[in-house]
Amino acid sequence: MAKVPKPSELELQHVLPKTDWMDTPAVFRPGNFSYPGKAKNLKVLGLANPREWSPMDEDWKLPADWKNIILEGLRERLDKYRTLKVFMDICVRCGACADKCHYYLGSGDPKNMPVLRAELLRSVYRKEFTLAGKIMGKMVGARDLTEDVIKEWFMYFFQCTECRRCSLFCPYGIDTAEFTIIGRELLNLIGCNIDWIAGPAANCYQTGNHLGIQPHAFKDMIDFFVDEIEAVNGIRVEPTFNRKGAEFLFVTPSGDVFADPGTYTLMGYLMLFHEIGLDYTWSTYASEGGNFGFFTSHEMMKRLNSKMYAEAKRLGVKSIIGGECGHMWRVINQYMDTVNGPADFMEVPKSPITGTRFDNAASTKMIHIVEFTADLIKNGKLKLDASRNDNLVMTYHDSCNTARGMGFFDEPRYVLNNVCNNFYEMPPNTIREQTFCCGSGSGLNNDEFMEMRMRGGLPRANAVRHVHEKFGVNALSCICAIDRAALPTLMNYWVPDVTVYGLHELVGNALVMEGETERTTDLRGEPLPGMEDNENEDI
Amino acid sequence: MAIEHHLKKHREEISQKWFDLLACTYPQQTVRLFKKESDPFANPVGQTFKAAIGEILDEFLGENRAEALAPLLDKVIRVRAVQSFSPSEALGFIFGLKKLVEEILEEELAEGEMEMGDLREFEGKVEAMGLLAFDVYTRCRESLFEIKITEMKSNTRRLLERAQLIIGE
Amino acid sequence: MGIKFSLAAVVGLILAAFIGVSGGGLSHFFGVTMPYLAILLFLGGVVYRVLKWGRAPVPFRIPTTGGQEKSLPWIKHAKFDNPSTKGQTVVRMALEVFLFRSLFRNTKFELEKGHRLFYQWEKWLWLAGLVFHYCFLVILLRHLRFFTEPVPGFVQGIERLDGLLQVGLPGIYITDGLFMLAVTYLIIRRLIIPQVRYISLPQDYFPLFLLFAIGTTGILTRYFFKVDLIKVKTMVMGLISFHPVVPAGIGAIFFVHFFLVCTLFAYFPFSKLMHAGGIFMSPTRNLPNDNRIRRHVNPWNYPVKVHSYAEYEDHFREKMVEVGLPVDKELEPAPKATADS
Ligand code: HEM
Ligand code: SF4
Ligand code: SF4
Repeated sequence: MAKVPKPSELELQHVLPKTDWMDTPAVFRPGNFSYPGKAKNLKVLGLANPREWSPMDEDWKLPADWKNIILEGLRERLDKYRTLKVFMDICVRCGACADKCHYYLGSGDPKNMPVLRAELLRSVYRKEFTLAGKIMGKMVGARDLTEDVIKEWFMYFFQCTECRRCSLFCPYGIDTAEFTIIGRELLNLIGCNIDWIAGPAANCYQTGNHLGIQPHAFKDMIDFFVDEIEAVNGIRVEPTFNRKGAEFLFVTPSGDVFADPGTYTLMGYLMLFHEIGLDYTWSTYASEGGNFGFFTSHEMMKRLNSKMYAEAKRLGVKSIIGGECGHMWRVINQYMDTVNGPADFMEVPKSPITGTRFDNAASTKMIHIVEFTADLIKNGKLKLDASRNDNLVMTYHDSCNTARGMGFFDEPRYVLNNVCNNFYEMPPNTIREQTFCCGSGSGLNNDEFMEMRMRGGLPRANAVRHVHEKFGVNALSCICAIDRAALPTLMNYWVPDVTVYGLHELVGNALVMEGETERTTDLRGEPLPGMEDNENEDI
Repeated sequence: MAIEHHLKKHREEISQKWFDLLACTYPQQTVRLFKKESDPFANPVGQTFKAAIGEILDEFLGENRAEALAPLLDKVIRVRAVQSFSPSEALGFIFGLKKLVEEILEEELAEGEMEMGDLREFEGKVEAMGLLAFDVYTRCRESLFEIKITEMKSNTRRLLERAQLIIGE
Repeated sequence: MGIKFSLAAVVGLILAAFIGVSGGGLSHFFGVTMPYLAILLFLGGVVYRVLKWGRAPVPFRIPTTGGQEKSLPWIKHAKFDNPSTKGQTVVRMALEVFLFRSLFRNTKFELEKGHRLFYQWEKWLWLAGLVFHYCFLVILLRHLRFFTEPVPGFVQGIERLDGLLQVGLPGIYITDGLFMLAVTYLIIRRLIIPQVRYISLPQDYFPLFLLFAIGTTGILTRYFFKVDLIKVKTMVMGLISFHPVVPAGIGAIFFVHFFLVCTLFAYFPFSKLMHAGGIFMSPTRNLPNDNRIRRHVNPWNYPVKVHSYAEYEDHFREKMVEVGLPVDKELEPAPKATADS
């Protein structure tokens, strides 16, 4: 093989050749791609071209007429989505978005600049759908659709977390996430997708949730948390399942049921609902709030999301409460009513405790648990002892989806400020609408992609480290299930002293419940501040 | 040792050039961003490097204690360990210090203000730092594997816990 | 490559007009045919483009939200960064169009690092962009004096304001200088910022070079060659009254300027310059974030295959009954093996 390089060669070389981006092919190596979708999962979902393959193979076993499929697919989508059509034409390549993407900031790879990510698709559009592109070709940034282009798409559309940070800064609002969403849709037409998305989507479709947990096991898990709560404060909460006639249906991402630390957040929900005596039910059929279909195609998003309204209708509830999740709420806020509505069989959500009517959800009939809780606190309906969280110095991560797909900023902060006493914001250009992604969104939180996730999460981690060093922050709270799965890992690598909490876990800790025994531990079984000595006696 | 004295005199220049060398291992489109953007939150990689390089130099030219140097090297190497560099590419910048210093001290060497032997000794020190860096790099990569396992466990921890409970009964 | 190509194209255009008029006697072509053609292409092209965009429906309402949503009454709503009504959206759009609000977000005011300001290039892009567009607008409006008789008061007003710096004769317009500065900045920026250079295509350089050339020839026409403006006006009035005449003795330099402007107009609809129209149609900006309040209708919403509750229950009934989960259909007395693992 190659000679041993001289040190001087290593030092000063640019990693990428100085070639034009169109002449720089995508190179797959372990760690920079996610495993492709397994044939069995694709079959469950009825997706195209199920087969065994690897991005590292030379031959991707595309269907014979793949080119036609892609071009027809693109034509169809240009006619269906004004976003795509307009965004294809109006980018001035001013570069304002270029350095806004966390993947670019963490990797330095120019194709991670949002504008170039979009050009990957745009260049093909020019060639096939514009006169200038047909005549002048490369001169006007047009290029042929080849297998190498497909490989490049696969690499970079699965290196974008659809976080929309780029869109915020673009003078025309060009949203590279739209290119990614539609690019992935096209890739799906010829069977190029990743298993971390196809697997959960298939499970969700069939069994109701991403991990494929069957109804009895789902109930069993929640019952298990009932015991855990009892161990903490002696209160036995009594959740119900698939119960007709309940006032509310509660839907949360299944990560909260199975994955730490989401499970503690779930305990928080259970305690809160019990304390206020809410008439609500869980559903084992709609047991997944998250929607990995959204990372596959608009159609798959609709198919998976349909369960929420269907179940609400079947159970005859008045309205729905949704748990803490990012992309689940992007879907609920921006798509659900359109694709699966109208939800005219329900009522405008109204808090039975405070009487507040949530007119901001007048049409979807679905409210966010955090706004529900914020309203309870504002009306003084909860007894909270924030000092139980005094060992935590908090900061808060806005999840991209609730930030730039919703604008959900002050509700969580209000709750947070009421359940803990030490809260510090990260620097302004890393929070709220400018928040940095965890680096693992949109179905990329798989372990084979770890390296990419760590660099994509670097801008976020860097801001956490800043408040960690400056204010001694040791806890990072969030309202997103993917965050709860991905941020602990990110922190482990970059800022190991910071622990991740879901907001309702903190609520659960602080909530003073009627008739509870004195608590000595928090929901994680760790001693409360001031109780460190009692730890052993209690067990 | 005479050479340290000279090096400290040139600290700013060395630090600047060493940082440039590090930055130059990135695609040239990005080098400018990494070098120039002064907001540490808009440019986490570049600013982390800039700060760390200075700290590494101070320790290296000062007391040069391994236990103090390792966490400083970690700041840079932790980033490079996840950026699709091979180990040799990730750590090449350390050895680049040798040539860089030789160039900077060229005049002083020529004028006989210090001896070639001093320089050789300094180069030995750089190599020792290189070895230390190798340890740090390995630790970073190991932690990458560890966090994978931790994550997989916590993703399904409750299920496993529950399953074991049932088996235990 | 892209740079040279674009530069060559602009130089070619200049030479074509210059030689055509001064040597080839093509002043009728450049003075009459071209402007009509350009206007036709411009109007036709813009209408075509906008209709083409407009034909594609807006299936989803997906504004990029840049501030606090409308929520509980006691939470302060960022009305213009996250509008919830049409009116608020209009304000958001106005901020985008008149002040380049989104581009402004790039701006970081790190005043304590004053000497570093040069590196905060994003701010310069916003500023240069704004200066460029406003100067362009003012210059266009000033040109109305060639198209109107009598010249409306507001055009004269603009001229007077713009010419406040009474330097030399004819008076120098502020916008001319600023326009040239801004265009120069935009060109230089494209050339020296490596990221931007990497993404730039010939069609990004071409309009900038063209504008630079238009500005330069315009200034030459006005200040150095002192083209006979009365004749120019005669020609323009002829054009708009559809009785085209080309008076003799207008300098070739004017035709070069005029031809380049015609090229700009003809080129406009088929290029990225259509961003001017596109921004008004951008669904991430021109829609309120009110999906939860009012249902947005997707015209092509179609039924999809779903996994219904009934299928689900059929699949799991036995296990559900076993753990006491309610079911819609009770188990049959002798249950078939319905559930699998
Ligand atoms: C309405 C909101 C508008 C915004 C936010 C906007 C923004 C921009 C930006 C960011 C550039 C890029 C400069 C560069 O880096 O090259 C640009 C260029 C340009 N715009 Fe606009 N623009 C707007 C409207 C218009 C309108 C109404 C015109 C009408 C004539 C126009 C004509 C141009 C021209 C001629 C250029 C320069 C050519 C170029 O840069 O390629 N723009 N604009
Ligand atoms: S900010 Fe918008 S117009 Fe500018 S390069 Fe990015 S996508 Fe294109
Ligand atoms: S949506 Fe997010 S991840 Fe994707 S290109 Fe834009 S900034 Fe990058």
